[in-house]
Amino acid sequence: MLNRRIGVFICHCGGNISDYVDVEEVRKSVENSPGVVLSKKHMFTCSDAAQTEMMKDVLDEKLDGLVIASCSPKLHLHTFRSMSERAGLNPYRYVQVNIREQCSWAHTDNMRGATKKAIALVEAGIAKSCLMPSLSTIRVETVPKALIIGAGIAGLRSALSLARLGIHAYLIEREEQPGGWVGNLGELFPQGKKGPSLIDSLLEQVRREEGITLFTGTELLEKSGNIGNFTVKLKTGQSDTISLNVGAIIVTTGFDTYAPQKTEYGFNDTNVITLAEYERCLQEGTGEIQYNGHTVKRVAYIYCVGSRQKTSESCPSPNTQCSRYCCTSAIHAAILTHKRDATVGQYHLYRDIRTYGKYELLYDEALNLGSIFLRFDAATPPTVHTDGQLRVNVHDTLTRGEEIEIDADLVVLVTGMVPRENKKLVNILKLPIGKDGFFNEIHPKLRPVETVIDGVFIAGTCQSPKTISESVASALSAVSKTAGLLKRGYVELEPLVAMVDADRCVWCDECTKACPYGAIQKVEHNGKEVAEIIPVLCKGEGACVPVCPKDALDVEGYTDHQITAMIDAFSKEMAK
Amino acid sequence: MTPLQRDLTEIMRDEMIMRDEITKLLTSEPHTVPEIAEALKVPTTEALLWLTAMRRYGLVEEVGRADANGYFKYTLVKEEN
Amino acid sequence: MLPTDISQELDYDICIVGAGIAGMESALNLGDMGYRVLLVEKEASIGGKMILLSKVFPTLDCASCISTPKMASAAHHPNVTIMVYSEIDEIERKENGTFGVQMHQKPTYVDPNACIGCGQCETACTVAIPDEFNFNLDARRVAHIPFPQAVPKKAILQRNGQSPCNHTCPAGVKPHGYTSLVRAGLHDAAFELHLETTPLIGSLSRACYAPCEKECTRGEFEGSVQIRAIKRFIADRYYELNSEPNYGPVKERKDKRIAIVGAGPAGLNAAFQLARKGYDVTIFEAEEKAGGTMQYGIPDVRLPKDVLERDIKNVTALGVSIRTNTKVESLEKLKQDGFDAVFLGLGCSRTRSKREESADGTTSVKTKAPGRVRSPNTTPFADEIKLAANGVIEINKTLQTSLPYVFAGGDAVTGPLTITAAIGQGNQAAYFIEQFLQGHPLNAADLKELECTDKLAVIAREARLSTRKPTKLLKRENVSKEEGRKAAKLPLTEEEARYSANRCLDCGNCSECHQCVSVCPSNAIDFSMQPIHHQIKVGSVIIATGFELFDAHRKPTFGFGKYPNVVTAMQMDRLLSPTRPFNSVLRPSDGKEPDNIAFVLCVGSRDSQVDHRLCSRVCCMYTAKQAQLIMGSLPLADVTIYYIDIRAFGKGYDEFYEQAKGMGVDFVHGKVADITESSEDEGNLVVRFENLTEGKIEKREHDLVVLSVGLLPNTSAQGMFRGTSIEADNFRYIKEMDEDMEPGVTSIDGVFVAGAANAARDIPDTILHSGAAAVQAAAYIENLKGLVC
Repeated sequence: MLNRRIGVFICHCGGNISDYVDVEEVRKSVENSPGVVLSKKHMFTCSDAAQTEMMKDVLDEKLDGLVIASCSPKLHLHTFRSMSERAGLNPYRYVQVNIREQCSWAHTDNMRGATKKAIALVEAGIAKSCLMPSLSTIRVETVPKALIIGAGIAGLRSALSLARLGIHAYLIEREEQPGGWVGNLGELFPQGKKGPSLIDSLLEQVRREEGITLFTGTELLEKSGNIGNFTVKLKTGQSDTISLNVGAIIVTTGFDTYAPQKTEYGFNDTNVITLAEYERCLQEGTGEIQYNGHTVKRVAYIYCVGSRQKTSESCPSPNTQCSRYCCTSAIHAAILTHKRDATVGQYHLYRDIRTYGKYELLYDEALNLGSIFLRFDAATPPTVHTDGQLRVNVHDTLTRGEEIEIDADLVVLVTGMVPRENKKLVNILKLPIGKDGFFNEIHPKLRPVETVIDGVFIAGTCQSPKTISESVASALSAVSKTAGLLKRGYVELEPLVAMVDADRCVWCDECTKACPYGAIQKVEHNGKEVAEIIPVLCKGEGACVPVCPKDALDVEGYTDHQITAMIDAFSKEMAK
Repeated sequence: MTPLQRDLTEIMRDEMIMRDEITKLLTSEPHTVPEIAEALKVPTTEALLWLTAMRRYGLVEEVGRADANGYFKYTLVKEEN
Repeated sequence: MLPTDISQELDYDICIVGAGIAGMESALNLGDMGYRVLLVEKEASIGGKMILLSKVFPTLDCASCISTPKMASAAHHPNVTIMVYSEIDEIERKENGTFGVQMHQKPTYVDPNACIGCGQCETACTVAIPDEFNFNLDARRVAHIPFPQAVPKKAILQRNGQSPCNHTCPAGVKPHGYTSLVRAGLHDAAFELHLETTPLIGSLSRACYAPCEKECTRGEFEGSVQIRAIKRFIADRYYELNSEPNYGPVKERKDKRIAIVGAGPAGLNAAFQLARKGYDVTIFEAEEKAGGTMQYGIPDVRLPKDVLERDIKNVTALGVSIRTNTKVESLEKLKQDGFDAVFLGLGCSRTRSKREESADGTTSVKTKAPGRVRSPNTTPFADEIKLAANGVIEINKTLQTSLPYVFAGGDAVTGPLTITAAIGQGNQAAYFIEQFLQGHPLNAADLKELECTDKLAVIAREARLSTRKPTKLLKRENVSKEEGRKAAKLPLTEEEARYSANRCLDCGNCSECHQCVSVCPSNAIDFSMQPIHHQIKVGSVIIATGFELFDAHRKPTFGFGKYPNVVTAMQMDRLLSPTRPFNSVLRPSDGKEPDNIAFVLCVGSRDSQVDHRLCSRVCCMYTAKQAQLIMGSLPLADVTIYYIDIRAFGKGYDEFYEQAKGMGVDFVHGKVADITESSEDEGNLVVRFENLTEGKIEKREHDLVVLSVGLLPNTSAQGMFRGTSIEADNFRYIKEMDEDMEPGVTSIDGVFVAGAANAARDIPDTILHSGAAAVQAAAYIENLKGLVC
């Protein structure tokens, strides 16, 4: 340990640190710590100028370890790792110490205390650095193939894009007929294309494409392996199974429509239907609209059915989400209705009209064509009376809550999108599910198609309600991430993974229960059963470490030895 | 009716001249923006702009929390030796 | 990536225009796939508008915290090259499907390799201008780092051409520079700045014909800045405090000797500049005293000789020896005497005409009065160097005569000239003499400076300028004509000098005061930077130029621009952000922490009055976000939101809206008609609106109003394509030819669009759209390579 040559660099961060911590004192204090041969400070360690200098110091002083005390590793961990590499130093021999977010910014009113704490943190970092070995990333070869689960619009479109990028797509569909919802829709907004023709043209391209294999009536049975190289077992038809090797998996299993309860808005009445049913009705025939054997001259739409729900007795687990596409869809249906029969009176009972972006023009059009909009408060929803003449009562907030009664031939419930149940798939892939029941992405803002399961992506409406063009964009975004993963031919995984001391292990199985990634397996070692880590699956989470009764587990980069040394160094400093 | 505000560019240019006057004021004791404006006979908007620039470049800083009316007091930053 | 012919020809696979979140996301996706990406950004930092936000909806993540890792990844990705402060001039699609991109990197005047981002230049800069990254809520400096989290974090000097006064001075003096320094009270620095160009400060302050004042843009208003009077203040004050220069000869000596013939303005200046570089300089003066025209051509009443003497001391203090009463007649002899180079500042011999005796003494640069005998004193050298018919010395563009080691300037070269112009020639000659002595090629283009500021643009910008009369006019007010004229001629007091300097409009932004140069620890300031032009071959292009914010001035009924406490939502986001311009959320009229804030939704959206019927998609959400943040940072504040519909349609959005309601934000259903000032409480605003729930017109008073402005298309990319234009949709956004099935595909094959350049979008939708555009571009490249059929 004392033969180490560690360089310590302390950052002023342009005042962010040095305004609250006496950087020179820190620098001086650690100058002669065991293992340290160099202690310097910089105004901004992340600047190009400072990096050049640090690299030069690595070479000139033959440093074999680096401690940089600056900001959070979230910002510059990779910066400094690649800088170390460029200087010829193993990147895992560089240790980051956070004396900004964890010190200077937290103690702006106590310079002495902050300085002492900073020294302690740096000493801990030095202690760790003394015990950090050289490590290499774990390189895994990838297979240039992907599995797409669900051949709706998102699935079909991703398959085509993947193939065009040279990645083979296995597209599987549970039903016998691919095409999902879009295959059954009529005229779509905003361009007026027809759903079936869209799907047909996509299917034609898919079938022509050599780089796509389409399996219908097929389900996923099993998944094993690691990112870049999964083995998936499929069940085709009644009993046949196929095993395939793929590098990544894209889930595009779509949504379900909300099924109103029988008592909801008089749904048990035959003339109270969902928007989907109404749209199908609009597709049939020309001229006056017929439904259930009678002409439709007055339609009342009730919005937000099954969306934006609040907890109540009748609704113990509400769908709190807005389903996004329905306002536009309902208004579009009203426009189509008018085109068929301009004499139909249409009444839209809404909470907020969410025709966002360009769809706002459809709202204008519907208004101009004579649709009447009435607004209700969530606390006092409209009531539908099915005894005798079908009528809807609403307290219209646009006219100071006046109660208005509408006679209707048809009441259309504008139902939203709800997550589709797929327990089997969720279990096989360990798909994370969000509060709203849709599949969960890593970060809703910046990483909407990636999941915490390496190599598994989600796209389309299985992630959240979307329109068709949004589903397609989402699908291509998932293709983008897949291609980014697979086109290089290999991925490099972090080596900071768990390790088992086989001699200590007595195979009690507690660790496998604690690991959410299935990264521990049982193997034979010198005649006994022991646990073994599968490095490519391990995320270095460390849940296995404390449950081991024999202390046989450790995580590289966070070993007991290292952590103890850090605690010792820290406490020694603070006790001074 | 408050008079039409001067153009922002013009107000900001005056900072170099007004700094000395604000510094003089704050040497005696911390002031709020309205107090500075009244002492220098300038609109409060302008006083705020100059004060903000002085704060940005490390010449003044605020003292504690806002008072009951919502105004902060500002004081000169002590020279570090 | 298997190399094929086309790929090997390309400099980059994809060029992405715009490094906001869309551009960065596409770049990272493509870089990960292995493609080589060039990311071009017109601002000095990447990050777009997102980096300027406080927090983002619906997660309330800090915008900087989630952006900076993306920015850092983009900056350090091995496959991504970023060019900031750069603009695309033209893109041409070639027949083979690739693209030729012509672009240029604008000069930042700071060497990015040397700059460490310390910000000292910004603190030292003497010119204050509105900070556009804080949306004009506060001022920054011309030398600045765009914002604290800028990537790259390098300073830039944002110049707007060269100020007309600096541009026109024939001597190379920077009047804007010293004026700016006087304005800031840095009078010593002003003298030292002037000294960099010439030692003859006192003389110029009396005798210069001040072409700078003629060009001064303020002259188009009540009168130009009194630059020469300011110069006199600087000189007189300095000389009063310093009867002798406070320096001696330069320590580091160069081993070359230079002879200057003629101690007039040209010769003295050349001597000064060369002596500062450490050369051994001797001036030979035929007359009894040094000074040339200044000594013998201008009467004492105009240019007191003690001032001239003090000026000359600036030169001799450097160790320059002036040998008066010494006439030089042979250049060859000078060479033999050991001089390595010669400067001829000979002047013209003077025949004092009647006219000259009575006049002020300044010669005119334009006229050679017919009949006046003025001949250059060049006859002795007629054999050694080439002379023109009228006796003037012939020189090339670098002031070199026919004898390589002999340079010339001043009257003897140009004919009768002004002192100021002669000084300029002395400076130029000194530069070229040094180049010559160091064995470098002589290049006239070295001394080329930036083109002049567009004065008309400055005049338009200052349309509402307050009246501030020049001091000399002020001195004439309320006194007799005679007294006024006398008073106007008096030198300026310090107060008057600063007042006068404060009339400067900072035309070119940067005054060239060199304060940044003097404080920069890494010597990174470089005024010689020029734009760098590039011709780049790429396989495909992605337009990611983002959006424009609706200009709230276009809704005058809301009082933006009239009432300081009506701000835009972008300004509010800045007030809430951790790098906020004020120390808290303060209202602009008087720095008070507001406690009754109103938001007006749909400003500039869903509005046929401003010809923008579309919904901007993000305003309902960002308003709910700001409302929540305000309730967090100002717990006692009341927040009211006036709305038409609340469009919270994305994942987690409606829940976020409910959360805001739960925090006590008052959502009022109704459109705002107008906003006026409160008659009772100055600074407060009265919002008049239709309360739809109550069914009546109401008025409410607030102490801060935020206008939730909408998103408009950024049309800058549309003129970029040579020979063709990229199709725009009905709303002037870049059109997607098949928005259902082919996101990102434009009317030009191989050009794609990502993010808000195609339609108003929030961040998650932008990320998805950018990923899609990246895939489309990748597929196009693969097609070019013929790898996939």
